[in-house]
Formats: sequence, C-alpha cells, structure tokens
Amino acid sequence: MKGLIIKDLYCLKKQFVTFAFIISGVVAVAIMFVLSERFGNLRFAVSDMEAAGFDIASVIKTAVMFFMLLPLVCTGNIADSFAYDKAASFYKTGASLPVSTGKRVLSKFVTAMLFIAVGLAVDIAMAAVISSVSDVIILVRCAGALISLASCMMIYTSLVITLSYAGVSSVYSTFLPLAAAAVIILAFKAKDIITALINDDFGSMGRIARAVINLTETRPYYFLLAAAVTAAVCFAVSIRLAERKRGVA
Amino acid sequence: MAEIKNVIEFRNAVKDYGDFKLDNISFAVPEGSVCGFIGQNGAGKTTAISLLLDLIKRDSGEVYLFGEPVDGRHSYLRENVGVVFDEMGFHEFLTAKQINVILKNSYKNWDEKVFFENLKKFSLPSNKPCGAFSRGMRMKLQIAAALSHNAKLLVMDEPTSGLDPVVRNEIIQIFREYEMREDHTILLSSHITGDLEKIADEVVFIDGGKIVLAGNKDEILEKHALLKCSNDEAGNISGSLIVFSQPGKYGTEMLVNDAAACKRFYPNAIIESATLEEIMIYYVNKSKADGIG
Repeated sequence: MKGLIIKDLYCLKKQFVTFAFIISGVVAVAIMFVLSERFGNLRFAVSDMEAAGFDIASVIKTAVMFFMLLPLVCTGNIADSFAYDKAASFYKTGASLPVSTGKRVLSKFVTAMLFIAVGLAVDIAMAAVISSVSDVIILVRCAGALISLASCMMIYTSLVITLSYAGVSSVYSTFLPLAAAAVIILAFKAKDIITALINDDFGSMGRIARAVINLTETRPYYFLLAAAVTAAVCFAVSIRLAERKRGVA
Repeated sequence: MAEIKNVIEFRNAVKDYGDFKLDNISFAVPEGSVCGFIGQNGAGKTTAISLLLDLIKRDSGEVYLFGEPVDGRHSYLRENVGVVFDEMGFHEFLTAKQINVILKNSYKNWDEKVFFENLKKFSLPSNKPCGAFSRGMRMKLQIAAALSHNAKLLVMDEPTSGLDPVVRNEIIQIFREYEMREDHTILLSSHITGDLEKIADEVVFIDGGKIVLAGNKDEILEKHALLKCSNDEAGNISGSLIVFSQPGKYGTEMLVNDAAACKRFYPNAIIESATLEEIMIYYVNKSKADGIG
C-alpha cells in the first residue's frame, strides 16, 4: 500500500509547485496586509469606515480568511491521480501488485487525507503567525474555520474517490460534489437568500454569510464528524465498487 | 518420481462479455516449464491472463495459481508473479529510479540491486522519464521490474509484439536465462509463434475463446504435418486425419493431425513438418469454416 501512496504522491507532485506558488502568494498578501493595517492606508481606511458605521473588521477578516483558505482548497485534487492512472493504463499494473483491493482503495484515501493534512498544517501555521502580529484574526476561531474547511475538503475528496471508482469521469466526479454542496446550502438557506435577493437586502446576505462563517469558526466538530462519517461510508462503498470491478489501481 | 506441480490451472473457466466469451477453458502449466499461449488477436489470451491475475471476475469455473484459488482474497500470491503487459503501465513522467521506490514499497522481496543491475544490463537510463523510452525500452523496463522480486512465475501478455527482430531476440534470451532455474515458470502469450517456437515447452492454442489445442510443443509439432497431394488424391485421405484442407489449382495442401499415420497410409504423398504458425492458421481456418471462429 505504501508503494501506491508514493505513486500517487509522484502523480500529484506537479501540484506541489502550484501549492508552493499559492502559499507564496498568500504569504506575500498577508505581509502586505499586516503592514498596511499597522502603518499604511488600511489603518486609516478602517478608522474612517468604522466612523461611517461599516463593519469593516468583518469584511477585512473575511478577505484574509479567503486568502488563507486557498492553500487548503488546492489540496483536494485527488481526481488528478485517477486521471494519471487511466492515462498510463496503470490499473493493470497496480492490480498485479501483491496488494489487496481494500488496501488499494485505502491508499487513495490516505493520499487525499495526507494532502489535506499538509494544507491544514500550513494554514494553521500561517494563521498563528498573522494572529501574533495582527488583531484581525483570532487564532482559535481561525483554526476552527480551517478545520471546518479541511473537513469539507475531506467530504469532497471522499465523494470524488467514490465517484471515480464508480466509473464517473474525472470531469464530473470533481464537479458533482460541488454541485451537491451548493444544493445542500441552498436547501437550508434558500428562503433567506431568495428573500434577501428579492429585497436587494445586502445586509441580510451579509448576516447569512457571517452566520455560516461563525458556525465554521465555533463548531468545527460538526464538520469533522460529518467528514468522518462521509469518509467511512465512501470508503466502504469504494471497496465494494472496486471489488466488483477488480483490476482497479 | 516427484509429482509434477501445476503453477497455473484453469478448470472450466468462463467469462462472458456478451460480444465475446471465454468459453469453458481448461489447461494447466507445470512448474518449471515455458508455456506459449498462442492465438490470433482477440482470441481470448488477454482475458485468460486477466482472470489469472484477478484483474477481472470470472463468471464460473475455477482458476488456481500456485495451487491456491484466484478469488480476490489471495493478493499475496502475486508476490511470486512477475507481470509484463503489452502496454508499459507506468506513468510516463516516472523515472526508473522512482519506479524502484514504488515497487520497493510494494513487493516484500524486491531487490533494488538486481533491479539496477537489470537496468544496466538492458541499457536503460535510471533518471530519464520512461515516457521518452522506445517501445522496446518500455518492454525491457517492465521485464527488469518483473525479474527483480524473485518471482517464481513470469506472466507476459504479448511482450514481443511491435518490436523489431533484434530486440525480440534479446528479450527471448532474457527469458531463456530466467527459465534456467528449475522452479521458474513462464506463461508467454503471443501471436508471434516464431518466438514461442524458440522457447516454449508447452503450447496452449486458443481461438474464439476456446482452447483448440494444448500440450507439449514438440509432440504437437511431431504429430502435425502438412500433406500435399493432387486434388484427386485428397479425396482418399481419411477425414479423421485432416484438420483442415485447402484445395488449390494444382493440388491440395492440408494439415493432418497424425503425421506418422499419414506416412504409413499414404507413402506417395508429400508430407512436410508444420510450424506452429501453420498449425495455428489451419486451426483458425477450420474454426472459421465450422462457424465457431
């Protein structure tokens, strides 16, 4: 199984470059942001806008969080490893290794989780640095949001893996979980969102967004639990699918 | 006398794809032998190999590897099997060094020293992405990997197809060296019968998903022969001896299944030894004529 994980890491090696590039960008933005917030224009903008009654602190926090989430988001591209395997006809070679079907499936999940764990660790380290020099983000709340997002990534990648084993092409397998997530969010908040849109009530939209952010910051265990359950179910289903088909990498 | 062990055994194995059926095939490959698995493209060789390696699920029958059933639960059996497919199967951006790391962490008995020695022997670079390799080099890379974990059985699906005669000969030589050890067995599928004629001890001939002929190669070559006679004389040849006959303008050429009997009964006929390729072609033509090919 270790060999297959290494193979997947080699497959996703190109993404390390993208990952490093994004992290560099986020770090640069964070440095500029902190400097501006302490000594530059942002400092004056904050005081001016707060005087005008805008909740500028929330807007800035959301902007910073958005940038920080980018490294984590780009760790979820496990579908690429399936595409690489298919292009190389690796399924036959992989299936001829002395590795059971269960372990072959497990290796995909382990690779995906490893990537997400790396993204989470990098993000939390950055949050720790930013929170130590700026008041914009509070480490505990930010870590909560990051864990919540990492859990969402776990759900997403688990679904991608299962859909790939079901034979769904990588184009659809990466899109379908996102579409499902959008439908779920809309189903929960459809009424509020539609009302806010009809009434041009951006204040309500902001409140909905803040409520979601607040949930991610303070209740990461909800997301973590959902991710654990989804990953377990997807793993079991993927094994069944792989055993039925055999010869999967 | 020691009992002959079968390393591979198919017992009435069936795999039905709808448009193609591997129909009730049974054959065995004894330990220490080289078995040539012959058949034209699409005859069912790859399907049979896929069943053996548990890449696909069979519909019925039994398949045994080293005496153990192939049923999705014995992945450890593949520790002792080196596999070479007609396609490389490794990602094109991987180098031989990286493949070594992957396989070192996959096979318990992986010997990286042997692997790098094999690379050197086959003149393969270890730092170059294998996507840049020629077809011959890709095949050699697969063979290098298959020979580096002390496999007792080599299973090869068309390893020499599409290669030039010099490379093919080199590869056959590698198989010969591997086969020198008593407990080493080879199952070599190919439609290039000349390669098999050089190396095989046993031959299994498959056509249209059915085993047409199986047995010792020398016995098969000895038993079969090409009989040439006039069209009038052809009518006197016993039907039970004829596999298939091809009447022509100046006479009839036929494959007979008992060369010794033909020589005895028809001393005036021209009887020539047949090659595996000729035997294969005549059996395929027979199947087509019978409407089962």
